[in-house]
Amino acid sequence: MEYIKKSPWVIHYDGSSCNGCDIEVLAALTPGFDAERFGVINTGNPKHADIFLVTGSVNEQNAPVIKQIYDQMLEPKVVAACGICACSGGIFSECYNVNGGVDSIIPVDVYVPGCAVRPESIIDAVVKATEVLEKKQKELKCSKQ
Amino acid sequence: MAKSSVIPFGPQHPVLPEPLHLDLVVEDEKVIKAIPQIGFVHRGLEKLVDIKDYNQFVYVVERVCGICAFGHSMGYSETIEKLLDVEVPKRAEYLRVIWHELSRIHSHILWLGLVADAFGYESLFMHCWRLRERILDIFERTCGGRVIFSVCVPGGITRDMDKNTLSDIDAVLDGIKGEYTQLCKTFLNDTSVKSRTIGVATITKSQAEAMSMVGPFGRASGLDYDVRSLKFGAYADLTDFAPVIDDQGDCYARMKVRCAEVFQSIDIIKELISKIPDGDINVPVKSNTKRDKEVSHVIEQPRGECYYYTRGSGTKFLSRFRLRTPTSQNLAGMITSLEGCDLADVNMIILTIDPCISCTER
Amino acid sequence: MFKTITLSKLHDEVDKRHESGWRFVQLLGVNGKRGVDLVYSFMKDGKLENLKVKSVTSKQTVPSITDKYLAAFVFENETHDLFGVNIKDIAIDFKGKFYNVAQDEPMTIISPEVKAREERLKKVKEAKKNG
Repeated sequence: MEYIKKSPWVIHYDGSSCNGCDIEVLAALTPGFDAERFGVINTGNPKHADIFLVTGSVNEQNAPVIKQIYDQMLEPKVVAACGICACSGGIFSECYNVNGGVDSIIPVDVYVPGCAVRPESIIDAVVKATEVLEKKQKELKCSKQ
Repeated sequence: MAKSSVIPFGPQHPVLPEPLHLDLVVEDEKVIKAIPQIGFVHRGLEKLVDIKDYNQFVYVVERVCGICAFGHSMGYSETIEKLLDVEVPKRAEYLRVIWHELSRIHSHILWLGLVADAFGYESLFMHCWRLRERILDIFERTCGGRVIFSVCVPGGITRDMDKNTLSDIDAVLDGIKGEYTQLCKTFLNDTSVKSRTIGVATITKSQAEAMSMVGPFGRASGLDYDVRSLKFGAYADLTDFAPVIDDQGDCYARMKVRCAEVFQSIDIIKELISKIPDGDINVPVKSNTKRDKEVSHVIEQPRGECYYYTRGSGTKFLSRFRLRTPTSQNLAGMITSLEGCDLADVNMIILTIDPCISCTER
Repeated sequence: MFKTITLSKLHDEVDKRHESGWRFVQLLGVNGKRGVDLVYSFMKDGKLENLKVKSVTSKQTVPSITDKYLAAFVFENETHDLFGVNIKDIAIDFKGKFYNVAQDEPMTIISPEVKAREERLKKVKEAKKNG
């Protein structure tokens, strides 16, 4: 039970994305790229997940939804912003209804650029995120002692 | 005495790839009414015409939806060409249609995988998406990208395909056809699939006409309408084209129509590859738009008929661009099809209309 | 094909088309100088026809066509939210909450880039006139 990084569970939410990054996130879990061989499972329950994959930018209507999912996740947790829209707003950053990337409302640990983000980058992002997760778990243990 | 309660569905749900919120009014396990709430994906990108000229705006239009990306860039380019009275070379028209039909195949196979996941067949979902990877390999080889291509611009296309690539595409499609026939047999002949889809969420032909439904959703209820029969572009050179129609109007009919459309697209691509003429692939487009000239255009996206409108401003910028996507037209049909169904069937019924919420809200 | 009609004749034209079996395609709003232009599109037998109602202001009320074509409710709610057009009797009315945008009627806001371009065009026109 000590090795949290051996099989991280992810939860995916699409906030105003064009679906390009979402289908690449799903493609990363299907044969061809197959992140499931590393133990990654896509869950729908925020309390089961370690890594929060967000695609798409933030607007007025989905900001409270993203915040709610993030708040429900248990510590230690990591957020990976997949795609350039989640990192900074992308090509839509000047639109009237776009507030910016995901880091405008929750802290982001891993930024994955790309339009649409490639499944190889997503697997790399999950690997980086698990290292951040390990670090956070150690800090959590030290602070409890 | 049945008690009615309201169950909120979405926007975050494991089976929904996109955010959509529905308030389902249920009595015991039957849905009485469904009240949708969209707006989670609204970015307001139609206002970007103010700061991006018509050559730059094609890249924004592509990113309205990742699944129908090529369709939008093709529809936009054809609308601008109508506005500026530009004629593209024949070879460009053929290549555009080849890419568009490949897009249709990949979209339908993606949809089949999601529907299989929705009624519990995860291994079938994996098989569909594995098959789809071969089409994405073709896209990567010819355009450089798997999802967003950026090859179709006003005036033509930016990349050509040589003879070897075209014959390789032909060979890949032959290979896919065999495996895809096996998949279709499983989808259409399996008893548990049939028991979950036959007679579920039926929409009659008169209801479909009253709600102006489009695309495979409308054709499964007997509506005989497909924009490709209007023969724009390279579709005019096909020897015979007839829309795939079914008259049952239930979820099974919608699956049948989409399964058959993939075979039809494979035949269209093979025919065009055998007939493609040589020549240029684009013409330069630099002129100013005419002030207050308005143009409208329709194309057949994988999900149905898509309408484009634009108005010139006298400069290189457009004063208005508007696209109306098939899912926004089908929302009335979706709400009607949910009335009277079981609560456990809701996610499958939503998926059978093939919703693309990011297209609807732009 | 574009045809201009007046606001008062709108409902009758839509009724006529519904009786003869025309299919409803879409409704859109365009920001004009004196108000919002509404374009209603219909199709029959491969022919696409666009009916234009020019310069609708927020003081005028537009009758809804959802009594004949239910699919129009999506576009009528959107036009109300983004352009501020008053449409009454929509079959499924979200009362302004269809898209929860931060600004009111965002599509009617004329951005500084568009203003600058219009000024430049005016100057070019005047210079041409003066020779």
